[in-house]
Amino acid sequence: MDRSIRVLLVEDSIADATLIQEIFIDEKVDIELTVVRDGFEAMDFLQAMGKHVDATRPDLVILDLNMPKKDGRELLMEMKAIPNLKSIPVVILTTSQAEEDILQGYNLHASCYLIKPIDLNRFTQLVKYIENFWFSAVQYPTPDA
Amino acid sequence: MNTAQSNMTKQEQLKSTSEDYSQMLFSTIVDCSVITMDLQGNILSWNAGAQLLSGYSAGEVIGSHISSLYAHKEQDTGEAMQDLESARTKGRFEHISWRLRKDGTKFLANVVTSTLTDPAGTICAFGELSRDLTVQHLKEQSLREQLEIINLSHETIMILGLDGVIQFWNRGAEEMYGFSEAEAIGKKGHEILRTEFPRPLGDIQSMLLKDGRWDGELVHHSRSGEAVTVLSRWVVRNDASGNPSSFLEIDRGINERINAEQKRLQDKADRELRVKERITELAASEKLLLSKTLEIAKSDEEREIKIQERIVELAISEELLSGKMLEIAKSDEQRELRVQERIVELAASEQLLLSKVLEIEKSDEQRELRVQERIVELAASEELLRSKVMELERSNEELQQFAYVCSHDLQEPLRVISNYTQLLSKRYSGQLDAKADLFISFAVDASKRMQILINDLLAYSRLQTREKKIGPVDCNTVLKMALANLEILLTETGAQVNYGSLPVVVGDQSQLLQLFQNLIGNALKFRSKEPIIIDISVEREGDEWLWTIRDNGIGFDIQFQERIFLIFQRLHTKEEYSGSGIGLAVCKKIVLRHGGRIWAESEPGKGASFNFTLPAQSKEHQNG
Repeated sequence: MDRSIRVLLVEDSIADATLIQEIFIDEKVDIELTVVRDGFEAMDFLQAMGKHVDATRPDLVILDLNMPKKDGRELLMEMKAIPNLKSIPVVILTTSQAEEDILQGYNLHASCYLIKPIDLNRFTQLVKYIENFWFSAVQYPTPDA
Repeated sequence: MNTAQSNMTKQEQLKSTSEDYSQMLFSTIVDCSVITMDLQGNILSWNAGAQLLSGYSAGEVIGSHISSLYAHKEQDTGEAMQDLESARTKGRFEHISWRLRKDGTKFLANVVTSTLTDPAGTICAFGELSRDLTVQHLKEQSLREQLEIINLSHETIMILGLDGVIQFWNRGAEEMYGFSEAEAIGKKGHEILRTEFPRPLGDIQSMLLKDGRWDGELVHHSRSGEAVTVLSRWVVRNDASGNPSSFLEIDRGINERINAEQKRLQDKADRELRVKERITELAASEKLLLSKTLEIAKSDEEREIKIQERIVELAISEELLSGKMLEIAKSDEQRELRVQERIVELAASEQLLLSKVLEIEKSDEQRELRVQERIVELAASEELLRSKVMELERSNEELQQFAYVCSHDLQEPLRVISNYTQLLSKRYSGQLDAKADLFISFAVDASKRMQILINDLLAYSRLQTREKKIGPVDCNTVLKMALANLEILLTETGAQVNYGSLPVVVGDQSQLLQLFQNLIGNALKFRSKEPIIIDISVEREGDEWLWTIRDNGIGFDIQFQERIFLIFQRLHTKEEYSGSGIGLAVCKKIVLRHGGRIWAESEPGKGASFNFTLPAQSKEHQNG
């Protein structure tokens, strides 16, 4: 791709969102990052509605599961039901280690499931993994015009 | 008038006078009916006799057809025309005809119908002469009826002339004597009947003529020769002048009566004979009876004597009997007394028995009550127990839930603290003073530890809340997975893990993984200075597998062998060795849930061996 990857981060915790962004900065990760705070806002952005009417379609969505109002699972289900949004890869990045949640994530057709590390070093490592994989290796589809 | 005319007139006058007289005669005679008809049968003239006979006057019938006077004119048989036709062909036809009177009654007429011819001989008219036969007919009818009556009686009735010739012979006579009327009439009665008179016939005839009748017994002989005795009655009949002309004989057969009489006499004689015989018989049997009676009387006497003797005997034995009876009575009395005494005894012991029974019953009742009470107690305590168990289960469950939720929710802020303190440390280390670095490092450490603690707690609580997935578990696979998870640490420490072929057990794979991982992890953690050697061995004991994980690490004091399995119990500080103190508690829980037991053996400085049992795979699961 000849442009930087557009990433939509769906995360309700400011602390977590800030942390991720700081790590991206520290590691000099070159992406176009947009952060939304809940599922509804995420949907608006994905469909370029409401206050995100000027939004451009992201290439990747990083999704936290446990969010108020509309949680990650719901958003995921809705995205996969809409033809235009179905093809956007979704990376779940969440606190839950519960096997049911992991299974459910894959059943709902998330691309992968990552657990937020407690340790900063591990977190940084994870971000490097994401960068190496999702921001370098992975090919993204070009949606129909 | 001239002579010729007068001659003719005289002849004519005579003729006419005779004709007139004839006419007058014809018209006026009443003895018979004289009428004329034309050839078709219509009445031309009608005389007084006709009127008298039929009741119709001339004016009424002249011109009518003769058939209207026939009695059966309704049937319209053409009888009248037939009669006329017969007359025409025969010239004179005599017949008897039923005619009708004016009043509607019928009468029988003797009719002579003849043809009247003109001088040329041609038939020009019919003439009819009729006489009433009714009276005669009735007479004849009456006579026949009377004869019928005579015959009906079946009495033998004959009429004989004074010369003895049979003039009348009825059916009864025929039946009695066998001669038919034709055979009898004209014959001399007493000849053909060969009559036997009781006295000379002359005498009888005189008596008959004198008295007008005679009664007596005669014997006639029938045609077949059989003698018939009769009681005969003769009665004289006079002619029109009143002179005896014949006599009536009526016979009554008395053959039967005589026979009966003879029979009666014979019977009587027979009966008398039999009576005599009977009397003789009875006399004989009376003698017999008498002798028999004497015999009986004698035997009665003898019996009487015997009875007397018997009575005496009986009297004697009765005395004996009385004596015996008195004896018996006396012994009965004594026995009675003894029985009474016995009864009293028994009554007494019965009382005793009764009171004993009452005692027993009462104690039974009491025991029953106690049992009931006990049952109620037990039921109550069972209830209590049950509710306690339920309570415990519930509170346990709640605690599990609580622990889970708690640790889960605790993680979130903890992570923030941990991450940001680390970020701080990373970003600003070296930019703040040494104390700040130290403080930050304390915070970072603490939050890391807390994170681990919470994770362990979470894992521990999840052991209970999650459903186990029981099935055959290949321990070779599980061990490989555990070693893979510990790869970094294994590589870092350069540890050597020895193991052979491991069995298949029954259990939850993920939990068993946790078990191996914790134990091997511990062996790696609590290492000594020597290179780590970990030996994993397993032995079959009955229906369990006995596992031993031995290490050559630092070991521990045996007095703590139970304590180490308690949750959060540690034998070292956090500075010495990391860990939350939950690992072995988790192991214990897992083993217990699998129905096994776990214990540890060690000596400080001599390593440790952790032993546990797991159920072996039962035959049913071997196919899996």
